[in-house]
Order: sequence, then C-alpha cells, then structure tokens
Amino acid sequence: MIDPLLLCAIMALTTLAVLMTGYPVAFVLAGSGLLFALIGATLGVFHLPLLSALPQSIFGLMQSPTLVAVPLFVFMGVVLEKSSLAADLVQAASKLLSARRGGLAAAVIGVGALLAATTGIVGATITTLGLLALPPMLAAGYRPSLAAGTVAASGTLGQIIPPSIALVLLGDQISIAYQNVQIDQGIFSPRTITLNDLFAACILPGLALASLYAAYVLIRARFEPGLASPNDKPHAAAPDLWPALLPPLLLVVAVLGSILAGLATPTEAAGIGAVGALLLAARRTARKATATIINAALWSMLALVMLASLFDLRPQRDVIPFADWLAIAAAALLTLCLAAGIAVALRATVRTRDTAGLPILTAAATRTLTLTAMIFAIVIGARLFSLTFRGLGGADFIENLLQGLPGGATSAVFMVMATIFILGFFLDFLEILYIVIPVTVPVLLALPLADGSTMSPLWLGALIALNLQTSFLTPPFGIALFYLRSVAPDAIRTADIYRGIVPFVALQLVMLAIVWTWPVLATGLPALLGSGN
Amino acid sequence: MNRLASRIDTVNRTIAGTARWLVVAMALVQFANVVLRHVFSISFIQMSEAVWYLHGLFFTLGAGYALLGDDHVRIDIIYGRLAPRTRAIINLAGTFCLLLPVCAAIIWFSADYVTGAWRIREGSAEFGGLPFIYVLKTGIWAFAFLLGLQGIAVAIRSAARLSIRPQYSSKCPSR
Repeated sequence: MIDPLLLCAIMALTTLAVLMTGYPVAFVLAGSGLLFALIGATLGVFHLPLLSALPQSIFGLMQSPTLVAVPLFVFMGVVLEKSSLAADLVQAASKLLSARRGGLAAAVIGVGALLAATTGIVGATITTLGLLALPPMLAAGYRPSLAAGTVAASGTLGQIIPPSIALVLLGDQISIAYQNVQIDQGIFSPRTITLNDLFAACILPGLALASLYAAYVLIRARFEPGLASPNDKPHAAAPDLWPALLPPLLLVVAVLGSILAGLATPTEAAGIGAVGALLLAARRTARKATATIINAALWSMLALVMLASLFDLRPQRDVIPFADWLAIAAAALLTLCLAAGIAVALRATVRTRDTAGLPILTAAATRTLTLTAMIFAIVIGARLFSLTFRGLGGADFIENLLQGLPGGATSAVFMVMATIFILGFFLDFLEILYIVIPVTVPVLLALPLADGSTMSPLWLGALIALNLQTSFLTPPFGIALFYLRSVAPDAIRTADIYRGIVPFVALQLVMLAIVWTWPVLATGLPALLGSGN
Repeated sequence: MNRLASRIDTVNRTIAGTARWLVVAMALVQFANVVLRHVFSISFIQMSEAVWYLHGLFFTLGAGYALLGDDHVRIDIIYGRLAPRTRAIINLAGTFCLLLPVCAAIIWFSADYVTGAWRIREGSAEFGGLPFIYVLKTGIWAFAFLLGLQGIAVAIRSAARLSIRPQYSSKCPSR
C-alpha cells in the first residue's frame, strides 16, 4: 500500500519532466493522468471507474454555450491577421507616433492594446507586431532588449483586455466554482457571475497595465542614448491613420460595446465580431463596387441597431401599429442588404489570396481549426490529469492546506497567486487554468475574510487573469517568447528577449499589487454597469 | 508503411477540408441568431443549438489534423535544439506510451456513453431542440479515433527516420 499523496507528487513531477521532452502538452497531461490512474488502480489507491466521468466532461466542452465563443473569437482574430488589417494598423500608428522620442514603442503598446480589444489572440498579435514593428524600432536606435520586451509585453495584453480567449475560459471556471461554493453553503438561489462581469472587471486593470507599459517606455526612451533623432520617419509608405484605425475601432465598439452595454452575451458578441471582421477584411481587399456593397451593409447594421432601439419590431404579436409595420418593413430591407453584404464579403475573401497563396477565408478557417483543436486538446488533457489528481486525493490535500494556513483568506490567496506565478515559468495559461483553478478557487471563494464576508469572485478573477498573463512572458517557457523568437530578426538575440521582458513582468506584478490593494479597480465597473455583485 | 502514413494524412486532410468550414457556418448562424433576436425578438431553438453542434464537431474533427501539421503546443526549449533522430525517438515513445493509450482509453471509457446515446437516439433536452445529441456525442469517438490514427502516422514516420543511419540525418541548426 502506497500513500496516494506520494503518488500524486510523483505524478506531478513526472509530468513536468516529460513535458520538458517537448512531446505535445495535451497528450503529456492526458497520458500521465491515465498512466497514474492505472498505477493507482493496480496499487489499490485509485478507483478506476472515476475515469468514466471523462466522456461527460468532454461533451461538456462540446455543448457549452460559453465556450462556443472561443472558436468565434479565434476566427475574428485570424481574419484580422490574414487580411492585413492588423498590419495596416501597426504601420499607420508607428508612422504617426515615431515623430516623438519613444513614440514608436508607445505606438506598439497602443496598437497592442487595441488589437487586444479586438482579437485577444496573443500569438497572432505578437507575430504581427514583431514582423512589422521590430525592424523600424531597431533602425530607430532602440536597444534590442527594450524593443523585444515592448513587443512581447504588448502582445500579451490580448490576454487581459477583453474579449480574450483566456478570460472566456477563466470566466467559465470561476462561475462554476462560485455557484458550487454557494450551493455548498446552503444558498439555494446562488448569485451568479457571468462572463460579462469578468470582462467588465478586467477592463480597467488591463488599460491601466497598458498605461504603465507606455509610461515605462516613454521614461526609458528619455535616457536611451542611441535613440534616433525624432524626425526619422521609418514608414514613408505607411497607410494613413484613420482608414487603418477605423476598422479595428469599429469592431471594438461593436463587440466590447455590446457586451458592456449588456445588449449581447459574449457568445453573441463573438458572432458579431466574426462576421464584422469578415466584412472589414473584404472591404480592405475588394474592388470599388464590392466595397460599396459592404459599406452599405455596415451602414444597415448601424441603422438596424437604431431602428431596434426606436421601434417595437416584433412581428409576432396581435396588434401592430402602422408606424411599427413600416419600421419592420424597413428593418427587413436592411437585413436583406446586410445579408447581401455578407455574401459579397464571403466571395471577396475567397477570391483574395494571402501571402502564402491561399484564399484568405480558407486560410483563416484552417488556422482557426488547428488553433481551436489545439486549445481544446489541452483542456481535455488537463481534465484527465485533474480527474486522476483529484481521485488520488491531491485536491483534498491542497484544500486542507489552504484552509489551514495561518493568516486566513489573505495568505491563502497570496499562496495561490505565488503558485500560479511560479507555475507560469513552466506551464502556460491553459494548463494552469484547468489544473490549478478548479482545485483552488472554490476553497478561496469559501474562505471568510477578516470581516466575515467572502471575497469577490470578480476581484479574484482579475487577479488570476493578471497573474496568468505573466506565464506568457516568464522564461524559459513563455509562449510569447517563442512567437517573438520565430519572427524576430537575427539582430535580436534570445538573451535580449529574456532581458527585455523582465521590466514588463515587474510591471505586471506591480499591477497585481495595485488591484490587490484597491479591489474597486476590478469590482467597480461591473457594479457600475449594474450586472456585478 | 509509408503509404499507410500517407493514407492517414489524406483521411485527416480531407476531414479538415470540410470541418474548417464549420467555423464559418458557426459565425453566420450565430450572427443570424443575434439579428433575429435583437432586432425582431425571434429566436429559433434549433438555430441556437446548431451553433454549439457546429462548435462541438469543429474541434473534435480538427484534432487529428492539428497533429498532422504539428500544431499541438510543445514546450520546445529543449526539443527545438534536438537532432531529428532524437526528436523521432521522443515522438515514437510519446505516441506509444501517451497518445495511443489515451485515445484508446477515451474510446473505452466513453463506450457506454456513446452507444447509450445511440440506443435511445438521444435528442435535445429542450422542447423543439435538434434531435441529434447522439450524433454529437459520437464526436468524442471521432476526436480519439482521428487523433490516434494520426498518431500512427507520426509513429511510422518517426520509425522511418530512426531506420536511416545517423550520419545521413542532418543535424538541426541550433540557435
């Protein structure tokens, strides 16, 4: 008979060791979960039928109304990337701002924040920023480490500024935990937190973090001796600012605006964003006649929103006044126009080819398929790992550990935060999200604070989101570093990248401390919007 | 053996060639749902269910193809510097010790779950919903099967690389 907790520890260490070999993360997690379940069962400390929870768990991912947002947001981001809309934005912004000292770096951060608010795909943002902004930054005399750090850190803003894939997954986890905790406490009509709440909670911390980054690079630039004279214009042929800035801004307003105004669920907003990105992508590449139709479609979208807010457009009711009939007819016409625009956009994105020679739509759909499959494979792997970890008693052990900490809730949160930060050096956000969060968050949410109340799940969520962001940057296994390495010119050494991200990770920790000290930064906006707790 | 690996590639490539369009369909159906609901206050339960049907089939059908393109995330700080031979050993061992057992286990542990759904032709829990839950649940099998199938192709290729004598295999340039 072996102590199952010992087996748990061996399993965790073995998994970390096998992950280092470079075999795909998803299968290492799933594989060690399975193998240690079998070992545990052979030794009589694991109940093998526990694994039959697996199909229900996978099916839960397949039919979750929240997670539907993941492929749609991925698609939106990939379309922006493949259609060069993101590239236009980078070039236009750096043209505008490179006239100021440190302006180029500030432009990169601004663009990073804006792309973050549209796509939220860290890899795509870093690839675009790295390819387009690194060479001019180096040419303007930025130190390679500062340039690399700025690009990597700006790219990761996509994780914290909503809508983001990471927040969708985190919100799913936290709302489940929050409900279960309340049911355990005997509250039968539990309060819920929605993804909208978490999105709202992360906006201020995300923007504040972007501002911290910008302040830092501007101050650094003052003391950068080799920085080129402010008159150097690296992008003579860059596109004009407004035509480049408008499409992503429109998407931000449509997607984030509708979520924050409480008009749409994140899943609905993801649908708007995906189709919106298609329209804008087609508009950029298409000929004049096509662009006109798409413009008309975009205007009809706006007109529909206005009509819907002015008139009662329900056709399914008994008595409809004449004015409403007119409005309904107009709305139907506008919808037709919108549908025509979408059809034209689909055709245009099939006809235009990307740099690799594939039709933009095909390339975007294929990339969305592999990215989404990769994400969910890791989630499934982590689920299997967690099933075994839980079955061997690891979860109970951690629960007791956290409950028994001297210092109560505060030190428990601190402990979890420290764990997530340290794990971030080795794992990336998906694994942490699906292994650490389900075990620790329910305990934390149930712990009484000093004044007897429990902590706000939104505050905790924002802290976790900020903390998870460091996992993209912390070497040796920060995903952002890999993406940057793959597009960075040879003039930037890997050591430059590692050195460059240190101050930005420090700023992330500063932001973490700020939100820790002033929870209102996270809880204020959701409360103001009337949906928070 | 090489032909078998190519056949497997073709299977997953063909499936992905269709499956990738599910996300476009998903975007369009979801957008239609939004317009119908927010403008005309109409909602069709089949159409909202269709979105998560598409989502569920999308990633389960794409997992094998992602392996074909080596798109599953690796921690490649060490792997990236290894010679192709060593990588082949890791992939061969990983396929047999981790990937294939996992795929087999998923199929094994979901056997009752999936066949049970087929036996009763399980439909939606909602009144008027789509009656194809049993098809959707089969996605779990498709996920494991397509992934395992592609794993076999990876194993064949890795073994083929190992059978080449080491002096002929080129070293990977390390940064």
